[in-house]
Amino acid sequence: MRRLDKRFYPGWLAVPGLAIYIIIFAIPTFVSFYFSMTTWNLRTATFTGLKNFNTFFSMTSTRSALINTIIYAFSTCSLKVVIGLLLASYICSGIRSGEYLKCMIFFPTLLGSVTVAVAFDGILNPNGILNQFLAKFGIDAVRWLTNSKYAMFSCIVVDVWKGLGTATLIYIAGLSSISKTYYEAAAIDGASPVQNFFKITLPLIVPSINTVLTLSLIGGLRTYEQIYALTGGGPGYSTEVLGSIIYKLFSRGSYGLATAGYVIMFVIVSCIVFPLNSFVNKKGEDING
Amino acid sequence: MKKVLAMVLAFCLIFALCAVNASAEDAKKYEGRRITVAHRYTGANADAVRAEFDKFEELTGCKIDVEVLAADADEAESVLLIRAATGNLPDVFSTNVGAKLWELDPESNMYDLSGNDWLENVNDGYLQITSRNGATYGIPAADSTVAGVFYNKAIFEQLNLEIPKTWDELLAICEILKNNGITPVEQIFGLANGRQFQFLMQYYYVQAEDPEFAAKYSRNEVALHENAAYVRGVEKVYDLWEKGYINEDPLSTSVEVAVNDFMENKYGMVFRNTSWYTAVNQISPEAAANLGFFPMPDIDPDNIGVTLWMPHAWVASQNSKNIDVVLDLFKFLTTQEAIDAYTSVLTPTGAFLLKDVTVNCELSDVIREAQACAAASSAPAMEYSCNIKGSNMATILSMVGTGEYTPEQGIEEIEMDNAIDAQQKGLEGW
Repeated sequence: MRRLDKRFYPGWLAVPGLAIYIIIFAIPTFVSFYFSMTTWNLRTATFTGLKNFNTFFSMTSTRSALINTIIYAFSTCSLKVVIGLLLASYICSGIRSGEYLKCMIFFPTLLGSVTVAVAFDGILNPNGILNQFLAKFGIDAVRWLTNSKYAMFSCIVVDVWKGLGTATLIYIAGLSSISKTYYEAAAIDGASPVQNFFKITLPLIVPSINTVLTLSLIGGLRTYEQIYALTGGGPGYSTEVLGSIIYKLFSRGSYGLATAGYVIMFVIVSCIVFPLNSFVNKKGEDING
Repeated sequence: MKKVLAMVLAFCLIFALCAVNASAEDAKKYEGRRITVAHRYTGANADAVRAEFDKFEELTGCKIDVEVLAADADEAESVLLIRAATGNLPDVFSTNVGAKLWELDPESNMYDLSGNDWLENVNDGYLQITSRNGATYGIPAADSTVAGVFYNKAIFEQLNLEIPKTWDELLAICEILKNNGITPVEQIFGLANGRQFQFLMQYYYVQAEDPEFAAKYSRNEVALHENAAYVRGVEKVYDLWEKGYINEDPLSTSVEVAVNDFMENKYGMVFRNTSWYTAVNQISPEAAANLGFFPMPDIDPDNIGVTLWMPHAWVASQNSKNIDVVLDLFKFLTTQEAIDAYTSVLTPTGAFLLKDVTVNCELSDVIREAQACAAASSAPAMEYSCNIKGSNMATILSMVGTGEYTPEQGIEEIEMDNAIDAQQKGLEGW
């Protein structure tokens, strides 16, 4: 037993994992920095310096896309963080239908983004189920996906519906790991359920909040396929996001410019997520004393 | 006894082997061989090319695996570009011709078909746009299409409307239709190609005004706003929106919705290519019989024409290990037998661009009208002579068509978008 405790794993055990990481992630990331500064047609690449970055920011669609990406990422992220926590707290409160609810909420996560988009297109199109339902109350058909006032809102709702399962599940795991003894001690001290939530539950699930926040924010900042399948980025540029611009550039064969777009997205995600992550961690440490 | 038995068995074995050998000789030429064909056809078009492959399989014993590339044109071309760069092209693939074909670097990736006598059966004009420096790379994969205005004959007859010879006359017809409670034009902006058709078919007039326009624009020697016909193309899209001549929700309108609306006589006209006939005919042959066709007019009643889209080319990969099978397949695809297989599934809406081939099925009146217009006066679309097209053209045109951009803003945006595309392609002069 003593020998086992002292034994270290040999370094070469990390080699397969490290090799996969380097080949699939590290090398392409660094290579993409180079290609983002070229005019690249997959056969030849001509170095153009920072011209691609300048071009990317000069595009009309980029301005809308940057704003839309931020709105989309922060809206979906905050809704998932809050609603997920409420749902998880409700499920963990000992209700009888907890297991059933867990399955119901997690189910959309199992579906592919495009599948979800196609299904919601059927619900949200002008003659779709939602408008038929609203018509029963005398409400005129709303163009959920083709009116620039509602299109982004519709995309956000669809993404929250799809991603809520993961957030809830992470919270449930966090809530389940909190020892019952804290609540028992609080009960002896006469703490109310609200006090329990803010003084015990919330501080102890900061790591879960951090995980949900990070995952949904990164997801929101880089996603495009669901939005693209729902609206194609339209009407106009009203639901265009960074990912959809990059996708369009790639499919038109503008590989250098599209790669520059990816590098910009990489920088934006890093600039938002890392400080936010350390801020939430610091807050958690402060709360936990 | 054992010796006799052994001899009998040996004799049986030799006889059996001979029998196997004899049947092998009778076997079809490519029994056991397998090739992969990648294309971007969907629906009835995919069934039609499959019928050709089935016939070839039946004749030769070869198996053809079909791989469907993305239905979206840009995405499919991008997939081919990536596969060409990674040396992973299928034995045969379909690709756009003209400028798009050269983007795939045929000298490095495609098999040179020149020297095969069956190429004589391919239309000379088509061979020209698939040949470079004495090498030929493609044969037509389907029929060509003609773009113009499809109208509801019953409505036009009922209101005594005549085929317009100028854009102003077309607008006057729109006004009459509107006053009669009929949507004049159905815009299908739910699809990327639906947002562009009306504008792209203007190219006939663009090249009529300046036959060298595409070449000059490719070299950045002329700007889009300097060609009046090009500007008029964008203005026409805007006109229909500004005057309230289009359907209420064009962005939600798909082909299915538009076909349905046509069957219910909800609108008078739609700007499409001849594949529109197939879309309507598949759902309602009766409604398809009610379709009429005329070229989109411009300012001069004496100069009216249509824009043509060439069929994709079947191209062989240079790295194919089955080039003998592929060449036989190509030879077959230029024959009457292949065209019969194709037309047994799908009524063509254009010419196959093959010589000595007749279409043994009855063409509808509307397709004959379109073909007559094409024969009278036509030009291939701009994409065959100039490969500059920004990634946002469909979006920009939908914004012009729904009043978000004025024509001037639209042109300016298209120019900026195209400039980025040209620079990314490394074209000289940009």
